[in-house]
Amino acid sequence: MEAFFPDLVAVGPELILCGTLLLVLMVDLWRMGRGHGFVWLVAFGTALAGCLALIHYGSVYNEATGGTDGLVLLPEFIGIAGSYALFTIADLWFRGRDRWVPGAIVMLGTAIAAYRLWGIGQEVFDGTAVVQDHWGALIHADGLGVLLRGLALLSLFFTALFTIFYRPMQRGLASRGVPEFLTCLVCAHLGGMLLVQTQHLLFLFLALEILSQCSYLQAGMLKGDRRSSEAGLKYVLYGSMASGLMLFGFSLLYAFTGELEIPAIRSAIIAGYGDLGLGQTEGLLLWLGVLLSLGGVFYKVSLVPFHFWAPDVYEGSPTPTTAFLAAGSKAVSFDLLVRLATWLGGIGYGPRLFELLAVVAALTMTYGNLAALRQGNLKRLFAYSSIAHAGYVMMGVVGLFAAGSGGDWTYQAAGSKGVLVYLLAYALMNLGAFGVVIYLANRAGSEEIGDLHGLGWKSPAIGAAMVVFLVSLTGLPPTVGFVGKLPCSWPR
Amino acid sequence: MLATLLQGAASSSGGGILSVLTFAPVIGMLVILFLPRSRTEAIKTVAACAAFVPLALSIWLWFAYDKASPGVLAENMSFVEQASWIPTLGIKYYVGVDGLSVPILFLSCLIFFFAVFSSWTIGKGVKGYFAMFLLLETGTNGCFVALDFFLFYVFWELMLLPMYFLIGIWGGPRREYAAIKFFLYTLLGSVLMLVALVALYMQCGTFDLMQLAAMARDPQSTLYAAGAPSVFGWKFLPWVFWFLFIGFAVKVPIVPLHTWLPDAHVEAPTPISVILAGILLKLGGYGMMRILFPIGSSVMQQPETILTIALIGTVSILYGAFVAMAQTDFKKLVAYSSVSHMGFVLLGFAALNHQGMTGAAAQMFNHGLSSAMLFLIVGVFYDRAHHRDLGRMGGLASTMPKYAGLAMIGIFTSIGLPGLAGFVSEFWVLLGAFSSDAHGSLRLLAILSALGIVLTAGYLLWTIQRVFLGKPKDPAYEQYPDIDARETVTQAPFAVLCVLFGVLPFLLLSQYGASVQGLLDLLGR
Repeated sequence: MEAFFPDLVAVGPELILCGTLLLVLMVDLWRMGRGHGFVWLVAFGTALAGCLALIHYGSVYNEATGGTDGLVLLPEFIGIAGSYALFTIADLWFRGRDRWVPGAIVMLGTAIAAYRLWGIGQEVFDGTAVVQDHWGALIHADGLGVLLRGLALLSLFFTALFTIFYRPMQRGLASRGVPEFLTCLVCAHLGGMLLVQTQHLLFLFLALEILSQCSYLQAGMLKGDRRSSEAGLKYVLYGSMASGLMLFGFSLLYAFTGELEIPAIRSAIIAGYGDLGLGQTEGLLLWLGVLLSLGGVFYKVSLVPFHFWAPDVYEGSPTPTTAFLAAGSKAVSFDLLVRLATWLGGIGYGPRLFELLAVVAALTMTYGNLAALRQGNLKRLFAYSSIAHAGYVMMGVVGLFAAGSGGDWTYQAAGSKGVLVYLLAYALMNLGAFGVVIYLANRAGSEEIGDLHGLGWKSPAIGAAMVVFLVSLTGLPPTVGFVGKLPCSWPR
Repeated sequence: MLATLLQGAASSSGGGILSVLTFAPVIGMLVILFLPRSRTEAIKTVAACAAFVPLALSIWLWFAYDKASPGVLAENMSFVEQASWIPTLGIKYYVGVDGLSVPILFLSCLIFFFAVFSSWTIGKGVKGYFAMFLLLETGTNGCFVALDFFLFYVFWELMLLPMYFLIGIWGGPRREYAAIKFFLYTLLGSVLMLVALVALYMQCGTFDLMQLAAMARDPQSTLYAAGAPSVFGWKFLPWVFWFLFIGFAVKVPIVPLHTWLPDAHVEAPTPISVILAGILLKLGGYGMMRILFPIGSSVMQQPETILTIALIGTVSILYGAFVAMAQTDFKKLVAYSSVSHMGFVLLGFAALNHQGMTGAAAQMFNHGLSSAMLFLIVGVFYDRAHHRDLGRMGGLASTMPKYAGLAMIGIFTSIGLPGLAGFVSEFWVLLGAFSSDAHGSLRLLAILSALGIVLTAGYLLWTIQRVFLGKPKDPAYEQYPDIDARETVTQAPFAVLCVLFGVLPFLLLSQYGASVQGLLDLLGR
């Protein structure tokens, strides 16, 4: 066991979240009565036994090989097995009469995971822990990853909190889905947290898919609500196309370089294809691969022209999901973009590719802001604003891509720092704004801007808070929105 | 952060005076936020106290700062406080004053303090109103003391929001339109300023205005580096100069960018109009003197720059006056007269000599006094009649003699009657422009601008005739009480200063003397 203990520690927060998932179910089944409990015990016990067996197998494997490769997929297995059990069983027995217990468990689990992450973070940032690879080379625990994992936990904490109070989830068919919804939420964040600490294309794709699938499910979770169903369907359709494009891009990169780790791909490109232009077929295909890989992420962060899903999905999804899409999902996806940009930018054809990305950023900002002008629905407005904000962050990423600093993109580098500050700022103000949206929707039963007239007089505190969030989204000093925007627009 | 602030306070020569002056209102705001909404009297009292502290300090500053110091550069600033704020970007909390800022800072504190009393009758949302009001004062005073461009920008933007709400919530019938228009125009200017700010930082690696001014002096500095980017054939510095110029000019405002002003003024409640005209417009001119001219000194010396600025000034003077003449709304008339008067400021800048520059600075101060009075005058009438239609006014001198007397002082100051403050500065500006050797056409423009004074006299005398003389147009006017103690108190200080600085102009002009010379030295004059 000792051999892979560091590996376990490295993904400690994720493991805690996995445990939380299981606990959500366990506590509520406890209240259900014995008859159901037995069936549940079988299912849950099987899942748990599977995980334990896996750990055992992994340790045996590691001892036999002297390496730490045996347990590469452990977090996923625990997560997937746990959530699978949760899905099936919750749907059978969980009547969702009490949304407080599962919600509280998730928030508590998040807090514990955050505490563990704090420990990891301290080691990473004061330099006592060497940045190293875990689980083979799949997990790369660096400062950037730690920060974004923290951001994901922040997002999870608040979206879980929102779920408890979100009234449409307490009505009709949807009321049965609170624990399922929470499961999706946790799993999606779990995927995001794995996504930010890997540079391995395969693992990266898996993590992104965990994130995406759970997002699709969440979007359509308001059963009986047509807009929610439309949102779910639209999200799946666009999402699968984007995943396909991305996978195709990855396969092209693999075909040319024979590598799956992003740093290795960089070296291979420099070594083998450094001076290939787009004129040659090979160069064209290689850079097409890079572009397609980026395009898949463009879709996740809703950059023009991959933004079409965003307004409908933001509007139709349950508001906690919308908050998650804007805060957590977008942040972790941008981490991927940062990694791709810093490793694949600045080499070969990269410096010229960055002009294309700059155009994408400019178009995104302009389009998002202009389209937001005429929106009547608050969530739809935020969707367009989130498109525009993706463009702002993209400015920072473009800078990184132009520099293409290779390995030197850790949290010290100014460019990624700008992006990080912006992502944190953006997550904070969006979580706040969506909290207000939920409060308003509960009170007024509407998310239309026109129905919010006189909010400042009716509830001054909420109105004032909303003003702060919106001013921050506008990017005016002295709010964090300005502090984030500034370094993004000059990434040096 | 507190630790760094405390540590930074060690490098303060001002003993924290300027910080107190800047942040006392915001502390008042916090106190107000904790008071219950129903205790309006307590809220107003706190606001008055919070606005009094800066006023007292600014009066003390008026006498205490080093008048002989040539200002403008770091070593010549008084009451400097410096602390590291965002060390990774070299951003400092850096404040200080010189002859350019002390008078205008005093004016700001004065207007804010008396605007509190003018706001005494605000009926709805008293708590929110005074909270916003005090936040606005912090933003404004902060702008006048900031010596770090980033800090300046933060304060500059800090003013924007309270103003937006003050117009948009407590304004007249078209308040929302006016508030958004004001916001968007100012934001346009701010964004251009932000671009210039970032560009300067990337070129020079500092936000320190004093350091940037020193760099502008040195032909070897990175500000003039050969590698500096040039866009569309323009070098780096002209871009920065004109971006900053537009940023400040929107606030002044100059003629093509002035259309927010009449709307904002007409819709804003009286005290906010007073602040807007008395102080916020001056920030544009002050920003030019503090930031634009020192940094862009080489561009400023170009003949075409001088001609452009002088032309804009003259056009503003004449156009503003003509449009004011056509107004039937008293408040709109005063608003356009502000456009006209602020044109003198630009003309004075363009003269690039001591008379012109001093005149421009003094014109900002005096226009602050006279426009504050004019808006208060409009406010007094509006409170009684609930309209501002010049065609329906008349005969107020007979029914409200005290009011008429005070109003005359304000209006004649605005006209520029000798013996009152407005005359001194306009005369100085015209004298400067006429005798300036900066550009050949300045003499002609000075003559044209002098015509503006005639126009001003035309529309203001006509206004006096329409408002105060003759028989009351409406029998109701005879029932109006004359101005009460509160209204007198809000207007009298301005009237006293109008007379004082008109009879003894050196009291004001000597404040500027050395610092204006310091600025002209930077400009190679």
